Amino acid sequence: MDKRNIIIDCDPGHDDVMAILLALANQDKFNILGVTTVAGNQTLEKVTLNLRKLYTYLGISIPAASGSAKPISRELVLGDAVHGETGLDGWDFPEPTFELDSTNAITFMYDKIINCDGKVTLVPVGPLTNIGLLLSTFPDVKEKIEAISLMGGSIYAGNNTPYAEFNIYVDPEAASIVFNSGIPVIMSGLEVTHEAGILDSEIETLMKKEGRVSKMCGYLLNFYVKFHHAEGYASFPLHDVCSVMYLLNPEIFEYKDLQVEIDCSHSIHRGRTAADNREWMKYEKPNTRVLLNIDREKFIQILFNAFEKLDKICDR
Amino acid sequence: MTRRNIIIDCDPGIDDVLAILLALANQDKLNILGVTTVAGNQTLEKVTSNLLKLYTYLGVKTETASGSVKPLIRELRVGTVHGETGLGDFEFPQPEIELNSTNAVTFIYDKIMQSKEKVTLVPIGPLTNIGLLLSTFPEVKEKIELISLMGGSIFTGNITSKAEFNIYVDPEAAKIVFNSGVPIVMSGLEVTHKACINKSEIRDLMNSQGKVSKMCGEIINYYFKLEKVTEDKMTPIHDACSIMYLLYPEIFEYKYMQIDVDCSEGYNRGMTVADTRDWIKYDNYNTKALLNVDRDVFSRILLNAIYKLDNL
Repeated sequence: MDKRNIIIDCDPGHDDVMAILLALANQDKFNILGVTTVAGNQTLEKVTLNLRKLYTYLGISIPAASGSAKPISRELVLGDAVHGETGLDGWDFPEPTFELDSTNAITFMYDKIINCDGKVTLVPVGPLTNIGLLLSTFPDVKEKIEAISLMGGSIYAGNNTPYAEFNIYVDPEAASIVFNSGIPVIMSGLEVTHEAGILDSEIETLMKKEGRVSKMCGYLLNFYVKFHHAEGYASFPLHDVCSVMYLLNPEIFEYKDLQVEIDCSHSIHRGRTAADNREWMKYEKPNTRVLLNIDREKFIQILFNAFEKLDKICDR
Repeated sequence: MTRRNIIIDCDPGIDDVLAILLALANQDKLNILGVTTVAGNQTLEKVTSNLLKLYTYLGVKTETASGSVKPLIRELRVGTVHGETGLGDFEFPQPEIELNSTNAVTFIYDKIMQSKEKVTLVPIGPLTNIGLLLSTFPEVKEKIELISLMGGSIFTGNITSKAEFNIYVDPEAAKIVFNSGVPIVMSGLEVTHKACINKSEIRDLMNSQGKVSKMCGEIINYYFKLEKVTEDKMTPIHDACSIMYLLYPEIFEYKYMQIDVDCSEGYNRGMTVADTRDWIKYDNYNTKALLNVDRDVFSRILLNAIYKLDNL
């Protein structure tokens, strides 16, 4: 099987870390060309620092670049209520020794894509600022992008507002560029990510493990779920993991192909991923594969296996 | 006097041509690092072809690059006053010049970063290229002296009752530019509607034997074909204001204002909203809004530039 070329664009963030780890554990299937950062869950400075800390802790060095410090035309809104002051509260990371390959995620991605023999799949799990600028500044990359498997949006209910999911809410203009780009979009929206949850008991299992990756994940998630406890959830969505998981195990998802537009207004609908749900409306090529459900137990099992695999690799 | 480094970003466009000519005639004061195109008055393909045709006709060349095909997030809406080709009905030769780049954003970036001195941007079409430049390469901001742009209006629009065409086409890009922290000189409709050429001046141009002046007369006269022509009718040369200000700031009246851009889908889409409350003071106004110009001096300088090019 050919390895899929991917670039992960993220704002770590607890669930971002889990998504990166899942990809790292599956490098027999993925050729990770790079990981880039964007402001969202926390400021660009903090999320980039978090990525470098994670790399240093794991002892890995996949190429990395920092990107946009703010949305294309709006002021930055942070997700600090969920992810804490550092953006990755819950675990004491070492001081980072890993240095970035570039401080311009857009030209970094452009170079990686243009110099890649095959097509590339983008996996943006934060606000879509970097990707929107990439597609606008370098429209010639579009034909070399296989698909965009993103975390963001929702068909029915939002989270940051009643109608909008956080990543899309932060930079609706960037999202509009991405969804209207003509590139196939696979959307892990809140419908599926809220099914991709982890239970308290599963987090406890992780925290008790000796492996340095599993244990770290346990402690990170233990912080992350505090917010969700307060919200009254029984399991805790690992949103960003879905976008990587779909590329590995599409068979554990349910989905529907839909035409999705982005609300770029300044109204109460700002950032809504508006899907045409009318059954009788047929589109020749709906722009989005909307993931709607997932086999939760398989999801957790695959994720835990990935952590264990990394426990062995990172222990060396 | 040191020459000012400029890059003109345009969508030629009849008045764009006049702005370019004014700059070309003043290369003792302006160091033109490049001219880039953007979709607006017509499609990118047409406006780029127009620029190359103009250069071929003139036998001159600055560096050139083509840019964005469409606004950041909206569908392109092309202008209606510049005709099917975007340059009236004057017959230009087929272009014999090649572009230096087909990516205006990286072209402008490279030019700015390679320049020892700061650079002034002169965008006279929709702000798509400039918005992308400032977003993709934020480090250029400190090397940009000024953005002297044509667009917007304080009181009344043209494409809608509230919005001027360039800003209406790509409000999101305009919002990036106005909020960038780079000083803006805005030639909005208040000043450009004063920056006019009258019918007798156009007739003189058309009757001239000069290669440049005759062409200018014919393309400007195209504006008059669109409406009922009267002897006292004058036509604004909008885009020339942004270059003229760099050459002769003293002929303009202006006011420092804080301006934001309406990015809604509503009635005010693309409006450049100025805070006109007299009692509200800002530390640093983002925009120097040009409000009036001495028409006679304006047209004399512009016409002199055109006739000067006849001899080159």
